[in-house]
Amino acid sequence: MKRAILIGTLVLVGGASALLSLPQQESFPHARHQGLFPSCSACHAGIETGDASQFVSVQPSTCQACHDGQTAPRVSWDGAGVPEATNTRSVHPGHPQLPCGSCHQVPGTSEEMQVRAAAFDNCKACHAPEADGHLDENNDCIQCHLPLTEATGLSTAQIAAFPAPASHSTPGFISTHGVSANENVMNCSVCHARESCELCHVNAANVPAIMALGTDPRVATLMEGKTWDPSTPATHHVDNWEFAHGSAMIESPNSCAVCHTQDVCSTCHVDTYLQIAEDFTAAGAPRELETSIPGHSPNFAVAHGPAAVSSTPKCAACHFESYCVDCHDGSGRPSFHPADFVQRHGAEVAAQLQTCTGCHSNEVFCRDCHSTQGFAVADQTGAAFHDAVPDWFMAHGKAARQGLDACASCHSQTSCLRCHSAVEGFRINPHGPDFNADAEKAKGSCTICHGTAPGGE
Amino acid sequence: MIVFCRKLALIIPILLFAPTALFAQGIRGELRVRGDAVGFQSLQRDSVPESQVSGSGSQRQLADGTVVTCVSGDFCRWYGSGDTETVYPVYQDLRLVGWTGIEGMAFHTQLRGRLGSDDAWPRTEQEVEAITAYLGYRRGDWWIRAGRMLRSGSLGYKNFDGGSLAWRGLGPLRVEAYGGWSLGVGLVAPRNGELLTLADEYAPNKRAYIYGFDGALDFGPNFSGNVQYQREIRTDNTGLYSERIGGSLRAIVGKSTLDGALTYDLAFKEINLASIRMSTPFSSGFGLVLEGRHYRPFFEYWTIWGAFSPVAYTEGRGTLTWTSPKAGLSFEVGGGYRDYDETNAGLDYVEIKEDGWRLYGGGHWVNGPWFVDGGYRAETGFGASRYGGDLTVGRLIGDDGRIALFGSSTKTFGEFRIGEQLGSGGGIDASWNLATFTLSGSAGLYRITYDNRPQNEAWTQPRAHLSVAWRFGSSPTPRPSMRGIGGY
Repeated sequence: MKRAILIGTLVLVGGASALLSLPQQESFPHARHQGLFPSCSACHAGIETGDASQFVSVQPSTCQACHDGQTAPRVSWDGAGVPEATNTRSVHPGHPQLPCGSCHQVPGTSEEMQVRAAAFDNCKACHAPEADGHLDENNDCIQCHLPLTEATGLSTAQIAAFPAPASHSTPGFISTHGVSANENVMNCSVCHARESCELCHVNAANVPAIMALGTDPRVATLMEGKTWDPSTPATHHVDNWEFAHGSAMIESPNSCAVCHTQDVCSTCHVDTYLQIAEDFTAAGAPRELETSIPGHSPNFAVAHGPAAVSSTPKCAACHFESYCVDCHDGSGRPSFHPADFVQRHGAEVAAQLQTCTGCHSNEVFCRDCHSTQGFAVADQTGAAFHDAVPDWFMAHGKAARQGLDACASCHSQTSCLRCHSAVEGFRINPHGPDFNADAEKAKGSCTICHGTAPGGE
Repeated sequence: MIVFCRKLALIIPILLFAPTALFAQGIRGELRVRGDAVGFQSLQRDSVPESQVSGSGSQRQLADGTVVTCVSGDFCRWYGSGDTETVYPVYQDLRLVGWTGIEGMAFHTQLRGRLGSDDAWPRTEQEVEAITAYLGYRRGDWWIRAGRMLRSGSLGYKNFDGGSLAWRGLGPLRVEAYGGWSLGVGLVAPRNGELLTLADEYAPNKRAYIYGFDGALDFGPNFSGNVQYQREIRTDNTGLYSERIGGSLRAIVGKSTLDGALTYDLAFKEINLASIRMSTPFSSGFGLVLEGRHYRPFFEYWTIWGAFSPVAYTEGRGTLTWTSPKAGLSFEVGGGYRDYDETNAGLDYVEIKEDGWRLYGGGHWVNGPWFVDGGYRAETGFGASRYGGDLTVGRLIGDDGRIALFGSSTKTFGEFRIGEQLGSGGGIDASWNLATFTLSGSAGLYRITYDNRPQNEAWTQPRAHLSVAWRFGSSPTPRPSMRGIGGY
C-alpha cells in the first residue's frame, strides 16, 4: 500500500509537470512512473482550481518517500520553482472536463502517463477547423492567450519575436485593420499594447478600442526610435486632393483623425469652425503638411483676384478675413509690399501693377502723407515740383491722362478746378475726344465742374 | 491720446470678454500691437525773386546748379530739403471669430486702433476703426450675415454696413444679394464723414446706399466663375457714386491654370480692367506665367477724375519660374511691356513717354534653417522709374524663431523731377513664437542721397518696428510661419 502511494505520488508529480504552461521544459519522466499514481491532480492540484502556483503542487518530500536511497535512488529536485514565462492562458478552469491525455498524450502512444505539455495540435482535435492555422485571421487569440499586459513574465525580446499573422501582411491592412480591431480588440491585445497604436494614431486617446488596451513599458521600448511610415493613403493621390478631401472627411471623419490633428486642419481652415473635426485630437504630433499650396501660382499675392472671387480655391477655408485685411487695409502689416517700398512706390503707382486705390484712399491715405511731407501743398502754384519737364503746365495733360491715379495722390480736385472748371477760371475742357459719360449715372462728376448736370439738374 | 486710450480701454474688454461671457461657445482671436519708428525728410518749397536769378525763360539755374521754375515778374521756385523727423505710429488690432451656442451662428470682429505720430503717419487721425463686426448664421444652403462686413468680389474689396443673404442650393451655383450703407474704399468710414470732408473740398455730403448681387459657379477645382453687380447711390437719391459690373473666372486645363477678370464702368461705359493670365508648369521644375492686362483706373462719380478721360494701357508680361524643392531653390525672371492709349493731350515738343517696361528677377534658397531671398527689379515709365534690389539672409531658430539680416538699394526718378534719389541700407529682423505669443521686431538704417539736386541734403533714415501678437481662444490660429519678411 505504502509503495502504491509513493508511486501514485510520483505519477502525479510527473503529470503536474506535463501540465505546466508552454514551453516549459518537461523534466519529469512521466512514462517511467507509469502505473504508480492514481490521478494527476494529486501532484497538479492547480489544474482544478486554476491556481497557476499550484500547477505543480507536489513537494520534494513526496518524492523522497520512495527516492530515499534504499527503495529507489535519491533524486535531486527541490520543488516546482517559478514556471517559465508564457502568455498562454491556463485553460483548465471552465474547460469541459476531458481526460488529461486528450491534450497531453504523446502522439502515437496510448499508454497511461505517456504525457507531455499540451500540444497545440491536440487542441485541433476539437477546435478544428478554426484552429487549423495557429495564426489564422479568424482565430480567437484571446481564448488561449493572455493580453500582453498580463503576460508580465515575457521579456521584450520575446515580445519582439512574436510571429505576425499572415493577415497583417496583406495589402491595405493598415487601412482596414480598424474594423477587426473594433470588433475584437482583445485579440489584438495578445501582441499589442496601447503604445503600438500610438505610433500612428495621433487620436489614440479618443479611440475606445485603443484605450481598451493597456500600456506596456516593454512595447514602449520596442516602439522607441520607430517612425511612422508616411505612406499616403491612395485616396490622397487624386488631383487637387487638398480641395476634394472634404467629402471624404464627411463620410469618415474618424479615418482622417487617425493621422491628422485639429492643428493640421487649422493650418488651412483658419476661418472655418470645423465642427466635423471636433473630435480630432487638439494637438500632439501632427503630421507634416505638404508645403506647396495648390492653386497658388507664382506671384499669387498680386494676381489672386480672379481666383479669390471665383470660389476656387475657397479662400475662406484657409484664410481669415483678417488675412485679407492685412494687405487690403494697407496699414497694419506692410509685409505685402516688398522691402523698401516707401522708397520706391512712386514708380509702382505710376505703373499701377496693382490698383493702389483698391485698398488706399487717394484723398485720405496718399494725399495725407504727401501733404505732410511737403510733396503736395494745398496752395501751391507754378510747376516747380515737376522741374524735369519744361512748360509743364502745357504738357501735363498727357501725363495726367496716363497716370491720373498718381496725380490725385497729391492734387485735390480744387487744384485742377482752378483751370478746368466750366464756370470759372480758365474753363479748359478736360474731356477727351471719346468722352461719353452717361450723364444720368455720372451726375456727380458733372455738377462739380458745370454747376449742373447736363439736362439742367 | 488720453481719449484714445479710454476708448481702447473700453472697447477691448468689451470685445474680449463680453461676447465670451454672454453667448460665445468658442472664440478664436488675436490681439496685435505694433509700434513703428520711421524717419522722414520733408520737402520744402523755396523761392527768390525772379529778378535775382540770371538767365531767361521759365527754367533757370541757381549758382549751385539747382534748377528753378520762374514766373516773369514774380518768383523763381524750387523744392529743397525740409526738416527730418521720426514718426512713431502705433497700431492695435483685435480680431475675433466666435461661435455662439446656436448651431451655425458665428460672429466676426476686426477692430483697429491707431495712435501716435501726431497725424504725420497716414490715417492716424482715424483712432478707432471697425473693419468688420458682423453676425452670421448658416443653415443648410443659406447664409445670412448682418453688421459691418467686407466683400471680396470681382469688383474688388469693399466694406459696408448692412446685410447679405447667400444661397447655394443649386449645386455648383451660389448666389448672394447684399445691401446696406456704403463705406469709402480704404476708409472704412462713410464718405461724408470727417475723414474725407477734411481732405477734399468736394467730398460727398451724403452717405450712400449700396446694393448688389454676386453669382458664382463652382465646378470644383477645374472651373469656377463669378459675376458681380454693384451700385452705390446717394441716400437722397440724387446721384450715384459708382455702378459697375465685373466678372472673373478660373479654369484648369490640363496642367495650365487660366485666370480671367473683367470690370466695367456703367457710367463712363469703359472697361476698367480686362486681364487674362495663364500659368503652366513644365517638367524639371520650370513654369511659365503669361499675362495680358488692359487697365484704366476707375474713379467714383463724386470726383471729377473720371471726366478727365484717363486712358488705358495694355500690357503683356511673362515670368519664367524654376523650383527645385530638393535643392531648396526657386528662381523667377520676367518682364513686361505696356503701351498707353492715345491721350490726345500734351505738346509735341515735350516728350512724355507713352510706354513703360519692367524687368524683374529673384531667387529663394532654403538650406536647413538658413534661407536667402533676393531680387532685382527695374521699372520705368512715363513719370517715374526705379531700379534696385534687395537681399535677405536669415536663419530659423527651431520652429519658432527667426533672425535675418536684410539690405536693399533702390534708385528712383520721381514724378517728372530732375535728379535721382538713392536709398541704400539694411538692418536686422527677428521674430519669435512664445506659446501663443509672437514677438517680432526689426531695425535698420538707410542712407538717402541725391544726384543733381544740390539743395536736397543727404540724410539717414531710421526704420524700425516692434510688435506683439497674442493668439487666444479655444482653437488659436496657428503660429505664423517664420519665413519671409516685409518692410517699408
